[in-house]
Amino acid sequence: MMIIKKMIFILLVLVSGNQLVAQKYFTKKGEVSFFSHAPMEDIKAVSNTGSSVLDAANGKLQWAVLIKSFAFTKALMQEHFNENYMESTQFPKAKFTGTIDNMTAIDLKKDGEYNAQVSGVLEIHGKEKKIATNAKFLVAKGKIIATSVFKVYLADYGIEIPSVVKDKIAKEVEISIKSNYELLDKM
Amino acid sequence: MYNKEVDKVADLKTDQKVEAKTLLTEFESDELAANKLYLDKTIEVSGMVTKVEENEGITSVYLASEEGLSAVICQMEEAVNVAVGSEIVVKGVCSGYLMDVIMVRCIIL
Repeated sequence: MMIIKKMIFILLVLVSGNQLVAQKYFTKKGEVSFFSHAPMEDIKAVSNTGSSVLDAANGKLQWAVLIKSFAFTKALMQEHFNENYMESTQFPKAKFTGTIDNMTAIDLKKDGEYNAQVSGVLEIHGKEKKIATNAKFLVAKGKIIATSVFKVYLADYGIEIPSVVKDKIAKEVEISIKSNYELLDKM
Repeated sequence: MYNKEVDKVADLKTDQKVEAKTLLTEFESDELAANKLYLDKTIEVSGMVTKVEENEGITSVYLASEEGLSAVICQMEEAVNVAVGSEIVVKGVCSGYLMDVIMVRCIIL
C-alpha cells in the first residue's frame, strides 16, 4: 500500500512536471474552532491539526479534521462532545470537499487580500450536506493564510440534543477555519 | 466535578507502546482496525524526529516521515527542544489518521 502510494506520487510528479505540482498548496496544521452560545454556558473548542489541500490550478479544495483532536478545557464537556453528540469513535472525521468558485480571481503568488466563494459538501457525524460560504485569502511575503467563518445547524448533521438539556444547548454552532498554506513542493 | 479540567497526559496510564513506523503502517494499511486499537488511547510512540515545527505558539514534532508523504505528527503540550534526527519517545493521545497519524496533548518521555 505504502509502496503503491509512493509510486503514484512519484509518477504524478514525473508526468505533471513541476508546473502542476507547484500549483498545489497544503497545510497539516489547520485550525478549526467552534463556538456555541447557550444560556447555561458557552461551548468552545479548538483543533490545530486539520489537513487541507488546495489546487490553485482548478480551485479544488479539501479539508479534514479529526473530531478527537478538539481540545476543551473541561473534561466532561470533551467527553460529552465526543460520546453523546459527535459519536467520534464511529465518525472520527469531519470533511469538506469542494471548490473555490472564483479561483481565477485569486493569485496566491501575489501579495494581497482576496475574497473567495467556497462551495461543496461538508460531512460531519457521517452526514453530508451541501454548503456555500465565503473565505478570505491573505497573501503576504509568500505566506498564505485562508480564513472562513460559517454556521452549521446540528440538526442538518443528525446530531441530537438530549431533551433534558435541549434548552441549554444552542442549535447552531459557529465554525472558524484558519489555514496557513504552503507550497506542496516544499515538503 | 463538572469543572474538572482535562487530564494531563503525564497522569494517564499508557494503553499501548508502538514504534512510529509501525503505527503509520498500521493506519495506512487498515485504518478501521488501527482506529480500534489506537483511537483515543494514550500511547507511547518511539521514533526518529524528522521535523520540528512552530505555528502560532504550538510545537509539532514529526516522527518517521516518509519522504514528505506522511508522518506521525505529535502536537506538543508545550514548547520542546529536540533535534531533528534524534530518537525519542512521545506520550500522547491518538486522535486518528488524516494524511498523517495525529497525536495530541503530547509530552516527551
